[in-house]
Amino acid sequence: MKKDQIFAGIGFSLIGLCFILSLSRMFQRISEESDPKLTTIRFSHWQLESGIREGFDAVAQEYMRLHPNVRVIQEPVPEKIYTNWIITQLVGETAPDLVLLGGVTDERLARYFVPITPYVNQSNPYNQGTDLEKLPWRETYLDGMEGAYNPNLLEYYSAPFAMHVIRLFYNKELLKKISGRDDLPTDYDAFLQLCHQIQDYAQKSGEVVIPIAGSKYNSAIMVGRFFSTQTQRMVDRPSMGYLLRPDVEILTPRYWENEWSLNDPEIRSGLEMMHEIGLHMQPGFMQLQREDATFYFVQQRAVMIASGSWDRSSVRTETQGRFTVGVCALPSPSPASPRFGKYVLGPVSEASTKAFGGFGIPRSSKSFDVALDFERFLCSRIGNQIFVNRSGWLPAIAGVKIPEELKAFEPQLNGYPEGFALQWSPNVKRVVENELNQLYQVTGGVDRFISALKPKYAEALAEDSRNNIRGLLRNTFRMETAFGALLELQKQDPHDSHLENKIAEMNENMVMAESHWMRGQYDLRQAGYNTKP
Amino acid sequence: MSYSLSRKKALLEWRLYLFILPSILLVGLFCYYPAINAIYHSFFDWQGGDFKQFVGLDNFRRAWNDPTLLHSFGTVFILILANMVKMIPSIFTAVMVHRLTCEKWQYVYRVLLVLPMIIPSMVTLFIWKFFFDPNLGVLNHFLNRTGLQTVLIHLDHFCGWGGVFQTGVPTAWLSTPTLIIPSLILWGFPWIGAIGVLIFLSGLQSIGAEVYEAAELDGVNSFQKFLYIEFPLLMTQVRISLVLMVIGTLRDFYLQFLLLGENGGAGGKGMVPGLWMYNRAFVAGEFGYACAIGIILFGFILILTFIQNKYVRVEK
Repeated sequence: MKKDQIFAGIGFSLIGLCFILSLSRMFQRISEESDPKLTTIRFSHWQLESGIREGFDAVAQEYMRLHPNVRVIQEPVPEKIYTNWIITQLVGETAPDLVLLGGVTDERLARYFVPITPYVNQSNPYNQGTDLEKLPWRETYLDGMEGAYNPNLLEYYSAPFAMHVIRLFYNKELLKKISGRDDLPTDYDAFLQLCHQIQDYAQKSGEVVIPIAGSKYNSAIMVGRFFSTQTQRMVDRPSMGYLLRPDVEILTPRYWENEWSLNDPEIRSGLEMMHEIGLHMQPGFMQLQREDATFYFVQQRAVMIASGSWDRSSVRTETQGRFTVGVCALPSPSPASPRFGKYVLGPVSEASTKAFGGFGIPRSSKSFDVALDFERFLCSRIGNQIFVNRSGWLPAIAGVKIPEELKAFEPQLNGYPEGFALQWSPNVKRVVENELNQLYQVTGGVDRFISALKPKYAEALAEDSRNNIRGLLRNTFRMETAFGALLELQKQDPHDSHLENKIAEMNENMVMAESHWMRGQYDLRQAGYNTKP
Repeated sequence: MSYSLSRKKALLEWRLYLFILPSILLVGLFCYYPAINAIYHSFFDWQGGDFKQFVGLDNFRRAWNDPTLLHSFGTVFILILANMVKMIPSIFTAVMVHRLTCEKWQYVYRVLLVLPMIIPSMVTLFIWKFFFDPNLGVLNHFLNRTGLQTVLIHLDHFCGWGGVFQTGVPTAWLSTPTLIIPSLILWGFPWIGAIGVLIFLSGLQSIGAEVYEAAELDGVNSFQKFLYIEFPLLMTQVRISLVLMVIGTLRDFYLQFLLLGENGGAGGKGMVPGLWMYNRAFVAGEFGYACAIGIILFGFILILTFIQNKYVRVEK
């Protein structure tokens, strides 16, 4: 036999072997799924941070122990492709039985997912034997399940299972070595002083160490919070609606009416803080990604890094055996601060933090009841406790014990409402982000940033406003159809109280949407902008 | 007469058409259907769902007045010019490999050129992204070690570049607006594209040995050989590469997307039409407008390709 023939034979054999293995695996899966005694449900998500898959797995194991006839399969998908992947699966009716909702528009939500509203008003059977057993499921949530409610569709489509807060992670040993401190200051001025101290140390010692590991992602988390301390009082102005919370529909027209501008002392002060903090991150951090910043921190090139509680497990895993990580809330300027205290109400409260996550059940799911039951288990006190213990994420359900190592992440309930940030919608975010380099550069500053941003800012607000009113109009059209159908149903059963409530709720929502739409159009016209793109 | 004959013949061999039917169906489904669908949706205000509103030519009118889109065409024009220059090293490499007298070494060089092709382009991009890192990147280290950073600082002072190069401050290549286009151009240095070299090599191999022999008898030197023999006979390949390069530069945006993000980086300087189309569709949710941008881009590519085919002539 020739040499070539031997090689070809080996190649073909390998391909054949792979083909046979794939076939056997496929038949094995088909036979498992067709087993009438066994129900298989799959759930997909993009939470690839360390510990999260293990958390889900622990919940699934416990659920399978309780229900031996059910098999739960986890399907983690990278975040970058998750939205596209899930859209394809939904369209092809091959989506898993539980889909972590993210990037799913209202239209897709209504079309592909089953609302779970009737179930959130019933008690969760897995809470039996606890003080939550008689409460409707939604009232067992720390946030009253507010974060899961879709005000446009008037339905709940998922049940959240976690909660997140922003924190500052720091290298305890490095901090002690440089400053002699064990923890970080809570006051902004003292924090800034510490940053200077770290920079001085790096200069004198020649060690490559910076105060804060920055990236486009991590810096936004941190400086956004600092900036919004300076606009706390602005939100409380009579012209801003006395709402004590930022409202885009008020902030936008007020900007066009010059009720507030980029040159206001509060805005300048917030930008000044951003500039100062930016100088304590590595040069050019705006071109770096989240993982670059984590790399800096893990490599002990930075003393601190700002991130969310979702990164706790990853940071812990990556720094284990290298150094001890401390966690604290972001420092805040005190009202007594001579430089930044003038516009501050006080530390920002985290009481309004909404529960995060939640799996939607696609209409194509063949095991709706089992999928819902698993979701109930995950979002019961017992299931959520298992998840929290293994994942290191904060619970969403009342009464779930927060492990000792998570205490630093407990939401701080005392404090004041947050002010507003400069960017809140896609186009505004884009123009602000594009000019941030003017603020963070060594040669840059507040004036350069404002003069670069100002010509684009009002138009970007107008563009987002136009998109917003178009969305409102679409929602109204969509609701009109559903509203008509409900009215027809009511004719058949005029005494159905649930239907009556639904009609009243939808009517109110349509009136609201229409009024917002008209208001938006009026504001745009008043400011001299087209209402059409 | 001839019509009826060919028709008869065609009908007799009708089974042969079945062989090309799957290909036609697949091309129609995956190439033409999405394109026709995009043309259709470019006349709608559409957010990607079921609901859409007919807006006529509004999306195209909007594109005409869209400063970001117009600016992005300017950026892509600069990149096309740069990419033309970046073709030169590939031509020279191909000529040098072709002129190697030892066939074994020619083979080795060809293999060496093809080997990097097995590395996924994403990996290459991420490696380049790391090169541009201001603090850990190879580029800044190289500039510092070679003293070129000092030269750049002096040039910055002399030419008034606005302090993009400073003493003691690492250069932020991808977050300084004025450095974004130079960084995009620098990407891929030394710009020896394996596919380009192979295309040019195939062209060079078709030149007969007698042409070289005749040239040597006439006493032409190496450079003259390139100028009067190789380059003119390579024009077919140059034209193919040029067309592919122009189409690629106009259409692709993965380089800008991965290096700079969906907003085109600092000052939006790296925004190209493809990236703007992506931004409008997947960031702003304006799928109808994004389709219109896609159609404009298609028209632009078509016109440029037509111009190239008409004016970049190959004399046989």
